Amino acid sequence: MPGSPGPLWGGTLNPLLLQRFWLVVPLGLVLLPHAWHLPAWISLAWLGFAGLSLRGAARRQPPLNHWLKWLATLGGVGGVLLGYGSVLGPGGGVALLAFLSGAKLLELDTTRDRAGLLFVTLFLLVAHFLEDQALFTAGWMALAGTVLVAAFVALETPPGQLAARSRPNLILAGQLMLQALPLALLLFVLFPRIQGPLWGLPQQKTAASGLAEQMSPGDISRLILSDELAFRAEFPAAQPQSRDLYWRGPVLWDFDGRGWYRARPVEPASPQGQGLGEPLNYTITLEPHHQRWLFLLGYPARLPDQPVSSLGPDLQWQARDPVHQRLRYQVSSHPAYRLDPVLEATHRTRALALPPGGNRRARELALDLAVAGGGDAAIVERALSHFRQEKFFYTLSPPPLGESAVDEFLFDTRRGFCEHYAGAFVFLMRAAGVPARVVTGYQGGEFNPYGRHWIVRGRDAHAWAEVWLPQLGWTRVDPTAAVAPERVEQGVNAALPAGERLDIPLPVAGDWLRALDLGWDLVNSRWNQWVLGYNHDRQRRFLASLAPFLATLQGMVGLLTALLALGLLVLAALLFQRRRPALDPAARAYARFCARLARLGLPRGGAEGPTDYARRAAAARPDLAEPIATVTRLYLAARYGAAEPAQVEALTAAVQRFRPGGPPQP
Amino acid sequence: MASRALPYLPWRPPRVESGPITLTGRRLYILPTPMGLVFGALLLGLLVGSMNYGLSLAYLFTFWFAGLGLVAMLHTHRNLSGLRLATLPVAPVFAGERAELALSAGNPGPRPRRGLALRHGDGQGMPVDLAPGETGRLAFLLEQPRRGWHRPGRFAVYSVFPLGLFRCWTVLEMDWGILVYPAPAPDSKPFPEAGGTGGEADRRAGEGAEFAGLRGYQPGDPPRRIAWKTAARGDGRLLTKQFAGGGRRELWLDWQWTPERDVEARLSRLARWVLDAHAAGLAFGLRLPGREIAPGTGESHRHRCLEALARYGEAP
Repeated sequence: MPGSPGPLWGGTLNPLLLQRFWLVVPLGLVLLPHAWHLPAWISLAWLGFAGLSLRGAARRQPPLNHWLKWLATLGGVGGVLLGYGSVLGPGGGVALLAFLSGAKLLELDTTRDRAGLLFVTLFLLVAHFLEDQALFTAGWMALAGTVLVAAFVALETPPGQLAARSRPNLILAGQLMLQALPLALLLFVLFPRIQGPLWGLPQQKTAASGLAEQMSPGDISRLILSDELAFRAEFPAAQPQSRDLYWRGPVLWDFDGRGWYRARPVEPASPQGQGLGEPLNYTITLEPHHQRWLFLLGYPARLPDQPVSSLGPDLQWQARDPVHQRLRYQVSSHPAYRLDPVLEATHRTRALALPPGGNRRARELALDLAVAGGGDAAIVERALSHFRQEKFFYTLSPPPLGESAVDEFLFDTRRGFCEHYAGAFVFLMRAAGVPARVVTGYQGGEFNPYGRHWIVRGRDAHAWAEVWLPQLGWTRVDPTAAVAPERVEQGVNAALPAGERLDIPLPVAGDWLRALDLGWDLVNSRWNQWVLGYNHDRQRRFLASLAPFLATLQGMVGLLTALLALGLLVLAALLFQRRRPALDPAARAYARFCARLARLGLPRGGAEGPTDYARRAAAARPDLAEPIATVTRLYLAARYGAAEPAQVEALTAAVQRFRPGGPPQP
Repeated sequence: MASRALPYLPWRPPRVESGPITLTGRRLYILPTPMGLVFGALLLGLLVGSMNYGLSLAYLFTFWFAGLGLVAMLHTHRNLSGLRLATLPVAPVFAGERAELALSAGNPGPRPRRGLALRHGDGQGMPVDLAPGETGRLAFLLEQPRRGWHRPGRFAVYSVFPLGLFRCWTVLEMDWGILVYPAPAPDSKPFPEAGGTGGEADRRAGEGAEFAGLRGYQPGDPPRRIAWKTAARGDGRLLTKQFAGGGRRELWLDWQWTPERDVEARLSRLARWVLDAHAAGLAFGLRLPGREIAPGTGESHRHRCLEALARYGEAP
């Protein structure tokens, strides 16, 4: 920062500059994380204002002209209006406040101005959580909050004393924050949370992430490379195998010659089928992806009430509203199931539809597969053998494909990843007369042994095929697994050729980096669940698990009031207690010695000197006369002689050895 | 004097106290400052925002700062609790000057106390810090426009430390007063002439007289009348030479002889003369209607005369 002075502590510093400093620094600390999402011109303007303010204070310049400030304010309002369209929503409001906080740095002449700026800083600190609630952000803001509290103390410190007081003020701020923390946690846990917003959430950013409703070449590889967290899943009972985890997402029915997509809804509205075998229970914590997909395995046995959702006939599960906040839901579903034992005519037509022309060679191959006969299952098997036997490669950087993408992929390049294999396979099936569709979602995930949960990331994104077979109904076929079985066994990295591996640690046992990574994932997962996800439902459930009465409003308010009062009392007792003067080591050792004698029924009299006491004690317990005499001699020497450390140590040791037990000897 | 110190419970008005006072919880009041009210309103707004957006961290930090406010309240209270106060003597001033009223403040505790200050309806003291075990001085200044003996009335000892969100205070009334001398007339006029004696002769009164003996030095004795030779010879004790009037007329500052006729103007004139005569080292007496102070010299004599002027007209 321009004009930052050398010695902050001590030295002869311009008090005005130091006073400014105590306003600029907390504001800067709070605004630094904001800078990631604020427009650059606001950050730059703020830095300019801060520099001007500090320079003005360093040179003891008079405050700026009023019209200049008004000009800056108008410019800021105009800029924010242009950028955000409004200065009232959370985005524009925070941006404008950040800008104005900078402009305010030029006008800090009265205590009122300075206090106002600190309040703005406090507001901006809390407002940042609209953008980001990560653990690291919380830590940073705790630090910035402590500096802010020190700035409040500095407000009450005469400027002339600031240089000497800066460090004590910071220490005091730290103490205050620590003392306030238990009260904050009490309020956090017990303050009744409400369900839903008070006046409705404003427009959220809708930069959707994750899977889309279409699959054009390159979509999934982008997702695989992005490596962002999609969701975490916990299985309370036995852990499943990675190869069985096909997290079902969008189901794509329609092909336009290049990519797969979903042209219109699928009727009727509910799935026709049944689960087979035991259902699997699990909990999913879905990261906000600003879309409506919800993920599950197989055929649902029981879906959660929250969020409000709908399940399509093709088992495509969607929430009513886009997922803008982290969502936790519990599902029970059957990994094995039978879906649509009888295929509806409309479904069959749609699952066989292909564009009229193009991809001639692929259609010929499909005819070859079909004429060999043996039913649809045999056709599927022959197509998979084709992928296995021909020289196909799994790679994330396939050569670009032209007009007849399926032909070029199947016969020329033969390089691709799940979306190529799934797309080409479904094309072949449809051309051979087998109803088929593309399913996208995630496959596998990483098991975190510390948290016993699965981490599913962008790199686990996957696409596979479903074919309809008589009696069996819709059956999953994963052509990628035919080409690269490692993909579904060990994840995408194992399937990639050596030169293409993603920059992630391979699953090597005992790798401490990986352990650190998984440990951090666990911390974040707990943070998300217990701190960020502590909402109305979770609060009720948690309190009900302690005592059912607590889950009521009266219970919460009653306990909160009682505990807050108790906390304040305890704190007051701690703050107001009279600290006893600290004893020196010799006196402490002697006090211990006296206490041990007192336990034998020989308490030291109030006015009794050590020598008299020793004489009386030795007379009462002749068996202890020698150690009593030793301790007393050492104590007198240490206390009233030249107090050498060696003597004190000898005394401490002697008292340590003095452990008389048993009743007084006769 | 209007006294708008800080408020107190009407059924527990401060008593006039003289002895040392230890501030205990029973005496202390605590309320949020305007800044504290703004802080509370801001937190309320942040809480509503947290509710609307369902932001757990916003809840947490809002609660953290709310807890901070409560903790700050305890700290502010502790900052005053246990403080030991005692009055310090008040130096007399002339009308138009400011009197300083001071308390000695002792910090018996093991922790520093910061930002302690006095506030009176008409005066505000500077904040003072006290280290553990330290005894310091809390003071405020009061404008004194009128002569006389004035009681400063109620005042408050307060502190807003550490965060300025709460103000803790106590209202006290001490058994003390301010003696305000009349403002001396701005211009010097010759001393009054009585019985045809020239002012010039009077001004030298006490100098041309005969040596009458020695007495112990008192502060205010003019240096030229100290028996320096005796001091140099003896044990270092200072002695002042005494002169007998020797038949010369004494200097009397008399109500009757002031050129002014108005009561306050007369008192101002007499105050000026007392100061001038004292500065010149003259022995002088003061004669007011109903009161006469025999001629004398020295600081205490000056004070006695000025006090008589200050309290002139008071009910005896």
